[in-house]
Amino acid sequence: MTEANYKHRGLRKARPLAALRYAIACLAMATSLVHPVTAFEPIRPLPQSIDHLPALVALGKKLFFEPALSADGTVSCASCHAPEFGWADPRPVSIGVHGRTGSLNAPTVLNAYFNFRQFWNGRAGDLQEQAAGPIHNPVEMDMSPEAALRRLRQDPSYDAAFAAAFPGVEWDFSHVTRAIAEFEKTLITPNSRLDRYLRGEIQLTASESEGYRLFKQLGCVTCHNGINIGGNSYQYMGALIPTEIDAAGADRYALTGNEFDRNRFKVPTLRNILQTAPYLHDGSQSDLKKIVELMGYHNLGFRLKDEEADLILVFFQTLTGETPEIAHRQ
Amino acid sequence: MKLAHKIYLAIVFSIAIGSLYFVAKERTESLLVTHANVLHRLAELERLNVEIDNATWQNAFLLYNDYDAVNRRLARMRALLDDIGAVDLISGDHYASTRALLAEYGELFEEKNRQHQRFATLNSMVKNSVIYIPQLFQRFLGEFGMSDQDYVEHLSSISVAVFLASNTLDKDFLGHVANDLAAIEERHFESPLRKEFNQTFAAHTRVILRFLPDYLQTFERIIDGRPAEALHKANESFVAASDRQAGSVANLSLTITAAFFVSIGLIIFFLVVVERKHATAVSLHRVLKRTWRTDRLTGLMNRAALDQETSRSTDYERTLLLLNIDGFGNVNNLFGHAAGDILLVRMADLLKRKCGDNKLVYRAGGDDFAIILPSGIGDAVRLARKLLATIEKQPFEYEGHALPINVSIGISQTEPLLETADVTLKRVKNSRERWMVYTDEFSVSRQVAKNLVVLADMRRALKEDRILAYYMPIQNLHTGRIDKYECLVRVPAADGRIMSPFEFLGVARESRLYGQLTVNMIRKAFATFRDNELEFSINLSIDDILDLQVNDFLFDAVRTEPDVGRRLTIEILESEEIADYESVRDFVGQAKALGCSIAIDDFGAGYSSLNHLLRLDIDSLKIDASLIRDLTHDPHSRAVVNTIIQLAAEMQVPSITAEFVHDEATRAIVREMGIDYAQGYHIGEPLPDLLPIEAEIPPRKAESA
Repeated sequence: MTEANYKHRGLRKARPLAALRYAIACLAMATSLVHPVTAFEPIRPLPQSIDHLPALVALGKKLFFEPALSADGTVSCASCHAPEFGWADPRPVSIGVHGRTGSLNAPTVLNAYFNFRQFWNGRAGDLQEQAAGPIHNPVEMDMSPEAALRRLRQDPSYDAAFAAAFPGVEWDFSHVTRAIAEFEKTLITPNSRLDRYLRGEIQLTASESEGYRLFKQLGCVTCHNGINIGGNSYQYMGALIPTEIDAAGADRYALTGNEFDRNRFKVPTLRNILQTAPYLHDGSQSDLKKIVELMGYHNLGFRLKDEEADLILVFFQTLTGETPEIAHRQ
Repeated sequence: MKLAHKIYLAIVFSIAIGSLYFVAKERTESLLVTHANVLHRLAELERLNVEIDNATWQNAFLLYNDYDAVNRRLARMRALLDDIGAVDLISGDHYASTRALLAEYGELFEEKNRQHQRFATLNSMVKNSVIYIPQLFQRFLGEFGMSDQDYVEHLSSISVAVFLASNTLDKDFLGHVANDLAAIEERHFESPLRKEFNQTFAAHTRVILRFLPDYLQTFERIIDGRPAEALHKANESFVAASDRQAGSVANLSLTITAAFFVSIGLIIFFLVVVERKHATAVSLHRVLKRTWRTDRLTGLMNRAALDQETSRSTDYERTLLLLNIDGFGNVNNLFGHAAGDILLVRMADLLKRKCGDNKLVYRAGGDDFAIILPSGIGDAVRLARKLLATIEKQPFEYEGHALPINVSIGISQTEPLLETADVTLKRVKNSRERWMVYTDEFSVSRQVAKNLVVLADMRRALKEDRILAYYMPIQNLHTGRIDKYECLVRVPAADGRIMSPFEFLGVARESRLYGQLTVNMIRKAFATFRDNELEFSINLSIDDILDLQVNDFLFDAVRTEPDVGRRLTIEILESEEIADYESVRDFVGQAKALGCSIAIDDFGAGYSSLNHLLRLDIDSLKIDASLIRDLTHDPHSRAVVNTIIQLAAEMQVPSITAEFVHDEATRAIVREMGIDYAQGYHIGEPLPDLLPIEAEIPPRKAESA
């Protein structure tokens, strides 16, 4: 984590230079010197904005930060998907009501809309389905739908918010999760350096470019591809060399009982990876370089050279996008 | 069926057809929209199914690729399937086979979805190893050289097999890889680098060996044609079912159209029926109107038409002539109703002939005819005279008999025309005139009101003894002296006016006050003439003569004062019908026995039998005003008066009096004719008092005498 922060600060220090490069890039663009990115790139940029229903988003935002949705009134969605920690949980595993600890690290909400499934094992099809999970989970918020509705109906401020979001509808729990999902949908981080490069707006630095090439050449991209650089397939932890990490109860096998699914997880997104430590499903690793080496060894079958890992980390810096506006308002 | 029921039936029918139309319209629209939606979704599903297979091919072909393309399409396809499943239409009976086929495709889709997730995992692993095995081989050569030839051959053999198998998607090329793998796994290396390399290479080879066959099988399952086929079948089934349903909708539309045309036909039919009935009704109405307004016998307009015409108000002057055939009843009685009818028809023809086109001729009922002239009284009178003259000249001939026909005509311009003309006609009938023009005093209603006032006045006057006696002087033409007076009754009205007998005598007679008036007159006359030597006369009607109380009073008075009674002349009206001549004769005998004289008043005016009259032992005749009036210029009148004088002489009537001597010429004539007495306005008008003695001989008469 400290290293990540260090890298982050380093990037900020290099800003004047980056600005100069940016200016050059713009100049280059103007003279058509920037090569357009081919259609075969395995990674796609995020959209810069996303269609949403403002009234639902307003309600969803209120609900997202609503501790009354938890049994003891201490935990909201934002407790584990903390805006100041990249909308993820800085703790290895999440802590729910009455200090109960879970077994998994809460993944970031940022860009979660673009994941093909939700949860580490992909048991939820979309954000709305996902939103109900933690509310009902006994170690997270521990609320039945009925109890959650009772709580919300005690608060008169929700009357207007629900009326605005769902005019003329008797609202129930599905409307609660629908609104939260609509809010989460807006939490995207566009205009990362990689996205701008992919859009042909800038050139990457030599090392960033080298890092991206390695990312592809070393095979990282076979799993971490698409708009979310991950989040679009299930893959094995330790595909080549088995890991000592205990996946019991968190993998897809726990869900399906299918032998094929043992140690098989939804691939996490690498966007904003510098901000969403700790890593892995159990939050067992906070050192990003170590994770890169770990993944290389177990899933690619060899130990990365130190300079290769560093270049990959430089590439990771290009994956940090603009923080959603909502974060500033909170 | 009643009109109301017909209308209700029509409304119900219209509502039924209208509702059916709207139902059909709504149904057709919703069907069209739903079909378009479903077809669109099915088409999109088919397209996505192709695209997803292409994307899978791309994933299989490229060493690395973006899985989003597949996931996005899978999500979209699932949404489309859910949408189609939620369409109500699909749940209908028509679409049972479509539903089954869609369910079949749904299962295939879920299976394909699972295979895709499996494929992504296998693909990533296989591709990684496919990437790594050549790279590792290259790295080995770079780091360790060709010294270990046997090992290099194994690596080379594995690399080639992996290249071929992965690019041909044919696992047969992996046949010897298991041997190669076993060979390198058996090798033990002291060098940690060699050991690590061997471990990595073996791991990748194991991935290929273990997962490539599964990978190929999964790929085959994904690009299997069965989902596409099922989808296509569902699509075709939907189109076929839609066709069937469209057929039923078309039938409904056809039914509505047919009902619409039937309605139009019915409307036309009813219009024709109504028009025909209307035409019949109109002609019927015309006939009815004609017959209703026409007299069947004469062809003239009838009483109804007359009433209608007279009740119509006009802005021009108009006059009604009401004409009645005198003695029509006699014609009927003598010759039968057929003759009466012929007479009526002839009369009608004559009237039509004599009246111009602009005059309306009606048969007002019975033997009454009416003519409405759009002009004034003058024209009406001219027309009446013309008609009278014509009718008199043309006697009614029936079966060889010539019957003289006379008519009476009442003329009126006063509303209500018919009533006033009728009143006038009655007046004519009761007079010797042939025609009259209506004046207000004819009016029955006004007469009745007037009569009531007169009656009240009369009763009051009798009660208060205010009955007046007026005295009309009678000149002795031989001496020129006024030696007689006729006593005339007068009644003062409430307004102070003095009423003449013609105003109240009728009322008095009807109300049985007549006798009282006469008694009153007798008393007053006796009082007036008691103290002089003048002669006087009192008028007695037949009623008075038959009234014993009047008789007793009169005779008592004469007996009581014989000197006065001897100067009394009792005037009996000739014009009155006398039924009981015996009683009259008794009365006359008694009166004469007591010394009174008897005169026949208004002689020559009435209808009474001369024979009876002249048998009475009368003392005087008073020649009626109508004969004296025209004496100066009418030779006929003079002849009649001469005849009367002759008759009186032969009958030994002692004296004759001329009434209505209104000028000196008339007086001269009557004196010349040998008439003894004269009365009239030239001699002196009736006054409440007797003339003074000095004036007995007016100076001018004295001169002329």
